Amino acid sequence: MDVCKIDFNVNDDLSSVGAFLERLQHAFRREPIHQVQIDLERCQYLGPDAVACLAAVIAEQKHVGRRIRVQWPRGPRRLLEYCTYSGLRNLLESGEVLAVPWNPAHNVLPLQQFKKASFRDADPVIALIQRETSLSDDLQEYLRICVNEVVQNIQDHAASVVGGFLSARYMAGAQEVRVAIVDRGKGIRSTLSTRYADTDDSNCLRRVLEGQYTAQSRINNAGLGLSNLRAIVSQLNGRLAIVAERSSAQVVPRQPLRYNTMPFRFGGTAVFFTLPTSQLGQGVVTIGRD
Amino acid sequence: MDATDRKQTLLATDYLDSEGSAVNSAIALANAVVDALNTDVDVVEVSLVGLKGAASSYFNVFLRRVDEACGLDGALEHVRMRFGSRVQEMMYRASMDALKRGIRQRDDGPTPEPAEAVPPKRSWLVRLFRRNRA
Repeated sequence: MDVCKIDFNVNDDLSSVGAFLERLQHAFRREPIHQVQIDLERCQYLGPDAVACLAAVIAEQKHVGRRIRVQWPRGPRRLLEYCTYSGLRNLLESGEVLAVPWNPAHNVLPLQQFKKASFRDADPVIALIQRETSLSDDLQEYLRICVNEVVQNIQDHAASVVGGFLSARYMAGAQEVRVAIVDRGKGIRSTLSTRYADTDDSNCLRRVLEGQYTAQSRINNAGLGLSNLRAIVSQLNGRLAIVAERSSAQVVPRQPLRYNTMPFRFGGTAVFFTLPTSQLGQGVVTIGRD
Repeated sequence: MDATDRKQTLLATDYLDSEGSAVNSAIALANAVVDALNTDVDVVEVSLVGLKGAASSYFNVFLRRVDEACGLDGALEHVRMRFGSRVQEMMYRASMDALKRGIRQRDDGPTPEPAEAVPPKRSWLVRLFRRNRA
């Protein structure tokens, strides 16, 4: 049995999540199918980014028949509770995304699995935040669009047998909502390779984020989804990170879009975004090209 | 359009798919618009008020269907959109721009890619300076 040791805190930032994904990828790359233990014993923080990644990887591996065992963290208590209320414990123990009761002490949205896109996909995220703070109609709509753009992309392009996974958490102290949506589908590059020749990973990511190209593989594509997401997140002073195969992109306030090459290949696409819930007025966001 | 124009109003919320699929909802609304355009009304008003979370796919599908059935420019002379929010209007306009670009590319052939910026060649003096510094 291989052991995938996560002996660090998986914070909701790209470097942490990148290291986490690298360990997961390494553990599951071996054939033939074998048993893997995910050892979280020394980890003291997991956030929605880690939960969504873990859920997508576990669902995919269980789908191909791999057995996974988990060594749960020793503590702190808050993390143990988070593992329960985020739906992670259920997923690892039963192999399914099951309904988890909401706990008022944890502003956590239990794991959601998407196999089809719907207008209502973002409703649980909004309900999560509305429990804590009121959101303007505009911000609700921006949040809905951010979630729906990513989920629709998964449905249209990813061809993931297990669909996509969403995890979200409202951070009351920072007054922000963190959302992670991850799939283990074919990835942006293979989607675009049927149409464009210059398809290295970072080029693909650059172009979809900058609205320069489109898969146009089905009628509903115009290549706007991720560039709309980027426009909304950056204009609301939020943060966005995307990992797509060997490359990643990051949007942080008041800085240009940054691209990096990852030291491993992540099969699928992971989108993480954080939006501040404290600000927003009419007409803040502009979508579309000048 | 003047006050005597015959007008039909369609509510986007009446065409929502029962499972919440944005694509199916947009197709249903577009088909209703096309049907209305084929009657003797002068103006079809499409109200998006109350429609929540319509991402780009919704507008892409809607506009493409209308384009396929009647040609976008001709159809839009008789279609008036009523938006529920500013963000909805922006999403609609972005989809419209993308579709028009697509139509232009289809008619004129693909636009050539912008050339990559080529860094200027360093002069022999700069190269010498850098080598000496190293």
